[in-house]
Amino acid sequence: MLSRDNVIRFTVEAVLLAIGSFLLIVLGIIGTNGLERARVQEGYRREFTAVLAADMYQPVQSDLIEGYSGVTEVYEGLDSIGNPLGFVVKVQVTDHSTGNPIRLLVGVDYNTAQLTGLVRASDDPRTSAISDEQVATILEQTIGQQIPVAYGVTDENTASDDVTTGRLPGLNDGIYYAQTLSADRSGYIDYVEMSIENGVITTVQWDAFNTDMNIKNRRESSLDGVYEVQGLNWASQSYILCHALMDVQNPDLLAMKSDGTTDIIDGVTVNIRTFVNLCIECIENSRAGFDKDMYNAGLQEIIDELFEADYESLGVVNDDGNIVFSFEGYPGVFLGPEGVRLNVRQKITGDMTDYSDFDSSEAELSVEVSGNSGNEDGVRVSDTSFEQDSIDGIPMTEINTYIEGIEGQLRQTSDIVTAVNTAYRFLKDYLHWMA
Amino acid sequence: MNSRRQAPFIHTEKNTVYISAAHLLALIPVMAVAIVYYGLRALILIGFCAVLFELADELCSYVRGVHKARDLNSIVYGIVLALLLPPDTPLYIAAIGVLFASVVCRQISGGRGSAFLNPAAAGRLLIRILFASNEGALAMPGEGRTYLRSLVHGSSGFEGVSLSEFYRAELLTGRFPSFLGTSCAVMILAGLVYLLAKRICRFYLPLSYIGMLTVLLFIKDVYTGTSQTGVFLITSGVLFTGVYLLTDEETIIPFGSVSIFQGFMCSALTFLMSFKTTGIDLLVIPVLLTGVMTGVLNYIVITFRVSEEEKLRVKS
Repeated sequence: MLSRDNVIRFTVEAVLLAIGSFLLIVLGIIGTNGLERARVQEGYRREFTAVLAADMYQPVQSDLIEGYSGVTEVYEGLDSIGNPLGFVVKVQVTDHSTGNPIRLLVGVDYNTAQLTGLVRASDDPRTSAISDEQVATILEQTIGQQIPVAYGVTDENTASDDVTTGRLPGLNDGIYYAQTLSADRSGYIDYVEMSIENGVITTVQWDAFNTDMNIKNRRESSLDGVYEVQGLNWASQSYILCHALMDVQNPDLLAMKSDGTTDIIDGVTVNIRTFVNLCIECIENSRAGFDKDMYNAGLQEIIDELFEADYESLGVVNDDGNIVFSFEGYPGVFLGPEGVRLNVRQKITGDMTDYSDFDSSEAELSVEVSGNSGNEDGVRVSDTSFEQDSIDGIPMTEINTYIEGIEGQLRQTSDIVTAVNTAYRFLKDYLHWMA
Repeated sequence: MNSRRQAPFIHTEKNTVYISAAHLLALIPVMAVAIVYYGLRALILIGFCAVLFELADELCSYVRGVHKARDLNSIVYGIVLALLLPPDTPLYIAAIGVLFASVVCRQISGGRGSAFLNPAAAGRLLIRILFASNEGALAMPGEGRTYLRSLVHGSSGFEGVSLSEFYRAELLTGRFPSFLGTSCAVMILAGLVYLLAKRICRFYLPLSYIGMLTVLLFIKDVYTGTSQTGVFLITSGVLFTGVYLLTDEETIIPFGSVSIFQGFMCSALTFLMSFKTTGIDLLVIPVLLTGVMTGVLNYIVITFRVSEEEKLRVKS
């Protein structure tokens, strides 16, 4: 047996060893975290760049993946400041000519739902009869096209250019931006970034950053489950809403009700008033030629003037370059003549022209107008009542691209197209894409 | 002149309990690594193996009616065996290894303090032979710390990555897929420092093993024009073998020249095996073979000494 002294000595040594070990391990982890991230990202880049070029990739953690037949892994591609660029979906389908599995990586653009790449995954067992050339042939026919895909059919209406979109008059091309000037109760400052090409709104992004710079953006927080709203997660609702606007091209047609909600966009239950207001501001800025850079420069100037200091020294810029400042305590800053509340453009340029004065009826509607009656209805985003034949469980009415496939190899074409459509179905279920 | 020592023997506080307790404490750094990197499943596996080993030894002693002084060696063996397992090993596989190590390997040779083969190494080798599929998938450290399904269902299906992708700092800190306790060179060496500081093991056995192996690997590197020695020493787990398997006083003779010979022999076997195999084989088979050879060697030496003494007595 051990003597009492030895028991005490061993106990003390055990405690010291344990504490020292844990400290050393934690230090080791902290010291190598950066290396691990770099290595992991390097691995992702090596594997995923072929299907989706992005600055970094993040695995999507979702219970949906585990139970989703055919989808094994999903990654989100982000640009250098964390904006989503698209998804890489690893799909496993059965090669019906051999009965063996084939694993493919499917790259999909975040904003346009276009296919950005399709290759065999590095961990593909290579037991299927489908060759790299056959995958490349399908990729050639689908790259840059919106998914989902149908094969063996030629449809004259497939070209996306044929889709007539409604346009607001007087829009100048460029990137436009607007953010709320006061934070909400959770400390979030909402912003909308809108790209306009050829007078058409091509991308819209709605997100919010927090005045506490340690808190993630609202979109990320909602995906992490930290920021919760009723119904779908906020990121999905934001995505659906942005795409609804891209479809209708006019914030008025989102049919916002007096309480700030809308009934006509499936899945959107959040208050959209802030989004609509910011979109209107972006549209007005576009008409006035006041782009994102000018907006940010203007906001910086206002803060500089307010504090008589350089805005950078005030520490109000977050990692993404957003100016994180709430003017809540400075109500006078944006008050114009006769108590009119100004926005950033008006404050900076002094231009009080009413750019909002446009007739929404000028916008050509391409999207089917809902049969629902009532003044607050404007657009129907999805409708399954006229579901017809389907491919890979996707109604033909949802198919965006038709390809000829690989000549004389319908089975292989079918298997590869199934992989692409499986990725589509997952993203649709995950993000409630309308594509 | 050789002569047998006569009673009274010198009494020292370093009895078997003391030595096994020191061995147990020397395992704390590697256990900490396993728990931090692999989380709850590592903690459960280690605890399960330690408790099961102790219970099996106790039960066997009870059944056989042998009452030897209790020490902590059973727990040490259980922990060492657990630390040699892949992180996603199910409990039933670990149990089979532990029961084999305790009931078959240790008890057949006489129970506590009498094993001629390292029980932990033998139990681990049995798992390797019976459940080869369990060896394939090694989990990434830091992932799934609360993942417990592997304790029932086994591997989560993670496919190994190439160690060449890892930075040296990651390899040194053990942040690469490995067995539970064999990855972190720094912590294994911390365990060795503790054992040396407590004067539980002589430096020459681990040093002769690791030193000789380094020299052999270096010669191979020079011959083949590669530079794999450092990475091999850090990642293969041979440091764990040198520090925790070769310092086991129950199965290895801890005396000067014999120790060095055992170290050399084990390193030569490891080196030769490295041409043909990797993984756990490389860590436990040389130790077991060294144990067998040591037994034979021991028998020869003792027989020789006794016969020499007899001759001297006859002469006198």
